[in-house]
Amino acid sequence: MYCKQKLKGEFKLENYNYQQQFRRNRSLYPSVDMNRASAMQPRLNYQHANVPSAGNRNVYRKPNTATVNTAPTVPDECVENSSCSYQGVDRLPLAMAYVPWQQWKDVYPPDRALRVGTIFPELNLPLLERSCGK
Amino acid sequence: MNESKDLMNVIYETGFVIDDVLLYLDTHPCDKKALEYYESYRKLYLKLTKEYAEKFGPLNKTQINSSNYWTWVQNPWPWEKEAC
Repeated sequence: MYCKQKLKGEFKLENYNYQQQFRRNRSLYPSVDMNRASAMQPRLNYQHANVPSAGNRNVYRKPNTATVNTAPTVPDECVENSSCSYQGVDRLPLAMAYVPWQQWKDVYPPDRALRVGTIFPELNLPLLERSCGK
Repeated sequence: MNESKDLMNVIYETGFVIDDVLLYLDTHPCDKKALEYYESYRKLYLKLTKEYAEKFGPLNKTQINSSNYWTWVQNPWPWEKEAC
């Protein structure tokens, strides 16, 4: 089972850095028309602190530690090797996700269907693993 | 009271079956067996809700057919003990 807390934490952090980058880039290029869609693209070649990106080789920027200091604190359960890490899943090879085509087969009678939450026996897959952080 | 409860349960179950088969039909719009299944439960659902409305009062806003009293307020509200 995936750790929702962890995913949430990572997403927020990523989002945060992206916005920081975006604001900085905007102040470096005041003449850019910000209404144009192309100007709204995130700059993928932008490196965090010391390495200048293609567009601003001559601009000196001191290493910015503010981003790190003001980043939201990551909850304990999102730290590597905590009880909430991916553990087993980490060691599996990356793969393509797939969804087999469902075929109509026998279905549950209505009372059972309502109790288990599906009319399809093949989709009645109760998750037995414990929840994250408990 | 018990009869209304039993009938309501069957309506819940039938309604759930329809909810689930329509999800299947969204991705399998030509599946004849699923369409037949849907049709049989649609008929059953309409029959049951009609029966319930006639015996115990309206279940939805189109089932109020009384010109002299607003029957919607006749039954206990869901948060009242009598409704459980």
